[in-house]
Amino acid sequence: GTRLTKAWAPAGEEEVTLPIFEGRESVTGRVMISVPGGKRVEHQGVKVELIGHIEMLYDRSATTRFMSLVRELEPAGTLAEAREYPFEFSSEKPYESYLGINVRVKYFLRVTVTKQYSSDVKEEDFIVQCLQAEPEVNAAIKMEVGVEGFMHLEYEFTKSRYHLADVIVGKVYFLLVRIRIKHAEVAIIRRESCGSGPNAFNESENVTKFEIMDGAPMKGESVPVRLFLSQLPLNPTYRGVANTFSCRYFVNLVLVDEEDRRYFKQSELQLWRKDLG
Amino acid sequence: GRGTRNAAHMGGDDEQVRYLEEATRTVRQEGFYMKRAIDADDLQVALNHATAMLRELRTSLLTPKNYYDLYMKVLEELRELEEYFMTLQRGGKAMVELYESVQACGNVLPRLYLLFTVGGVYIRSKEVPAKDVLKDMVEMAKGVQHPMRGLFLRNYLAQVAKDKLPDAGSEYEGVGGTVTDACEFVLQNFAETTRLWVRLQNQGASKERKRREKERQDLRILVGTNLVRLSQLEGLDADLYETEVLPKVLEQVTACKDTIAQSYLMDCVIQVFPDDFHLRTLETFLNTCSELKEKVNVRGILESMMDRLASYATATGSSIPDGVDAFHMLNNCITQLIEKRTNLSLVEILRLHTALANFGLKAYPERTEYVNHCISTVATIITSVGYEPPVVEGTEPSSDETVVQLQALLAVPLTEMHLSVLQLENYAELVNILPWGNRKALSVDLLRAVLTHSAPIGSKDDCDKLFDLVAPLIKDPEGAATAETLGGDEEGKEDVVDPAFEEEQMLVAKTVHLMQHSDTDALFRIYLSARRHFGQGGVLRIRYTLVPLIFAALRLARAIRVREAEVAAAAEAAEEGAEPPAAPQFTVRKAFQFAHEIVTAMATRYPDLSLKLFLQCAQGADEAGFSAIAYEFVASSLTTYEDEVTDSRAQVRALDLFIGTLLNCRSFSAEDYDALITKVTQFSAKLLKKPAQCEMVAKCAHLFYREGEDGYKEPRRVMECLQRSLKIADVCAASSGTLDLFTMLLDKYLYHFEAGNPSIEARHLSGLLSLISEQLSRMEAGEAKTAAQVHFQNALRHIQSKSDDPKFAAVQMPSA
Repeated sequence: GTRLTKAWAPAGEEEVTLPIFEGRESVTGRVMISVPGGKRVEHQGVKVELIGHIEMLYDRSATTRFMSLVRELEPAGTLAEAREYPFEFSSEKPYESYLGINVRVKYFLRVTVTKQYSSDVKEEDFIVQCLQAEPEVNAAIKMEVGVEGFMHLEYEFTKSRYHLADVIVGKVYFLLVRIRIKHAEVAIIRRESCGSGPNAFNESENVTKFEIMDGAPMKGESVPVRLFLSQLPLNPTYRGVANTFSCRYFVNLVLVDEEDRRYFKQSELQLWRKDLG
Repeated sequence: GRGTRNAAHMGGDDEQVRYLEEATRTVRQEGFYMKRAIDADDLQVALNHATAMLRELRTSLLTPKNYYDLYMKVLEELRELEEYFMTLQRGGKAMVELYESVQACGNVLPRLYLLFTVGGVYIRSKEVPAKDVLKDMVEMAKGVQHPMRGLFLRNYLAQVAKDKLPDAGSEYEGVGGTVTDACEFVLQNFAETTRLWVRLQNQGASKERKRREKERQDLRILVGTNLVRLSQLEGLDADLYETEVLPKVLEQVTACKDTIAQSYLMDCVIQVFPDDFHLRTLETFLNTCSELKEKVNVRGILESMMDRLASYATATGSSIPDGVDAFHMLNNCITQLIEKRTNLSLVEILRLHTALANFGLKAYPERTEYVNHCISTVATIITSVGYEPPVVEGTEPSSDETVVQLQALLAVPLTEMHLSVLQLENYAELVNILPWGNRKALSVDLLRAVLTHSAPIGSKDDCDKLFDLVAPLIKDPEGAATAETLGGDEEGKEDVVDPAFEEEQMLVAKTVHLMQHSDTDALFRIYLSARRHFGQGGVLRIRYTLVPLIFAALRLARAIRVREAEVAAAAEAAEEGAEPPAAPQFTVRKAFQFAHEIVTAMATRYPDLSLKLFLQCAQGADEAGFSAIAYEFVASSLTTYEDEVTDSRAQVRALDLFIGTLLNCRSFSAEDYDALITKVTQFSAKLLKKPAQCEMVAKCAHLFYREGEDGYKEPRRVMECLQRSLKIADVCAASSGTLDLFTMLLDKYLYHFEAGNPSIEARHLSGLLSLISEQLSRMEAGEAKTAAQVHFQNALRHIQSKSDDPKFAAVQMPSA
């Protein structure tokens, strides 16, 4: 079939549409080199590389190349006519492509025609996504929250692990309500952490704010939660990617009272990839 | 910022108008863009504008009334959206996708409105069973906990679901679910709606309690419609109602612990569901009644339930099914209520028992002990609280609540039981508590009922009880010199009577016809009793009440005569053995005496009337062959004339009656007859006006020459009468110039001449003819003359027609 594609829009760059490769999938293709009519091109060799690296956006020098594969296509010599070179990289790609706040994981193919003075280089980006098996254990999230004497509630989400097109289903039980609640919402937070020591960076951003309740409940009420993840820009949870960064997700239950004070409780969501896309 | 602004108060009317205008404008505008997107078949843009429009409903600034206004405008727009969804659905779009995608909306209120709009189409698409979608929607609706916004949202849900429930016979039944699912959905929405509505009370400052209550009353229909919808379910049968619906409804009623809600919901239940359901579940319903909040008007609830069941029993004609001891259940409930709620007023207690008695009678028409029970219970309560009715001046009915209610209670059994109310143990006791005027009104109702049912008054005891009970119609209150006794005292004013009074007395009078007994003695005793009661009524009443008693006595006299004849016949035949039947204790004579006493009692006050009545009695006695009694009656009548009748027209009328009666009577001896007719003739001759004298004396002439072989015949005195009249006529003609009296006399002469009276001879006729003829010739032309001429010519033609008769041949005709 046709390969899935996905928009790729790093901050400050033009949006492009890129093909998606699964992590264990071979990256195969052909390199086509054409020579301007009647010319002869002398070179030191033609190669194709598959490169995966992690960029730290606050420090360009801190880029870590975690994958670099080379296929020599042509030894040094002269090219007099157009040539085509099939290639294949069958090694597994360990990480997913990722566009974060401080971190980027990026894959690209680079074809180089090495010349004495200025080599001809062509790069082609692509996206890697790694499918995961459905988790065997998937405990429900159950939390109790309270402000002694003012408010007491329990909430429950049926699962703690969600695939990216999953639905968060749950319920909030209000056991004691003595504050004037105006509304309640569920927020999904993405937290990206990288670096260490003085260069440690933690960034949190709201992926979505989703109102689940309008008005103040009475003691004993329960309010349903149902949030479709498929429409949100999410990626799976990443932990210690190449020992350089993590990206985790949390769900906040937030109550806002009539004085706009916010009360919240957080729990982590484990996201995994079931399908490409 | 957020659309939901916090308003400590809702602002003045001007601000309300402004808020509503602003919100409406946005709704219209977004609605417009939405429709434009629909036209362009751009789903996402349409949804975006719909969401923006729906955000307006997140406001907290509007009063319920204005919010409703806005809500209706939004609903109008949502119908367009629904249409669009339906078009998409017909075009093959899976509604499940749409149902999911609208849930991405970040705000819960617009999200749910959109969800329900899609939900309706989703059900219609039958992609999934209706019950699943309904369950999901009603569950999701919990996301709106704000009372007012929640109420309207759930109303929208109810509206969307209205024609999509898997009710019996609906296209969604079967795969889509059963009527139980339909019930569950409506019940859940009802329960949540109720809770939101109750919670509305707790919004805002406590000093605004009154206003809150008002607003809640305005919004209660949003709650009630759910119950209406339940009652409309085709598949809702008594079983389902008993096991599923009512328990869940009542659970909400009890759980909400709210006075307004409990009152309203209990009332709704009564009004909305069919009566046969109520009968089946009466016990459950009543149990809930006893658990209601202190301030709930349980009395009113029980009353309307009893009223409904009573009219149901009346309408269907069917009584309560076996095994439902409705009366006892209701009675127990009422008893408990009265015990528990010590603050119940006497009026409320009375109202309860009124409704219970009414129910008892309508549902169990033959069980009069139920009414008896209510009346006795009330009597006990009234005694125990030492109730004294307010003092009322005069005889107007009191409008005091308690009095009116007691009166209403006592009126309950009248229609069904009429006279049998006398058998209710404490009935009379309670009637006597009523102020005079109320007692009178009740008495009128009682007599009307008794008369409508023609309930026979069959014993002296009944008669006494009845007239004691309706005493205000029978007599004036003790010690009161009322207008009724004073008014009409002046002569000639007796005809000016209050029509209400007249109607009351007519009612009393009519009861006489209900007095019945096969034994003449027993009937006589009843009449005696009635006479005693009526006798206390004073002059104004007896004119109405005693008259029928006189006629009754006359009828009774005839019956006694028949009985006496039977006894006599039996005595003759019974020589061989059997005991002869007993002779009546009250004889015919006694009956006439009774009548005579009554008429005599009326004579002074109503001479004209008594005079007539005496003569009626005389005729009765005469027919019965009681000549002496008949004589006595006529003599009394003549005495009354002499003593009391002074008006000359009344005198003429009376004399006519005398003559008529005397001519009818057959039993008088010649001596008695002579005495009576002589008196009548004397009275006639003493009339004040000459023409009257003339005419009446001429009429008296008939008395002296009765028809029949053995009739009384005094030809000479006939002649004397006629001649006396003729003389008077002569005098009158001279002054009046008319010939009426002559022509009248001509007829009389002719009559007696033809009847063969030997004293009237042809020459008398001849003389009179010539006299009239001569007078006519001298009379001036005119109407009087024409009339006299016609009369005269007729008489002449009559004489001529008899010319074969030698007697007539002797009459000399006047020359033309």
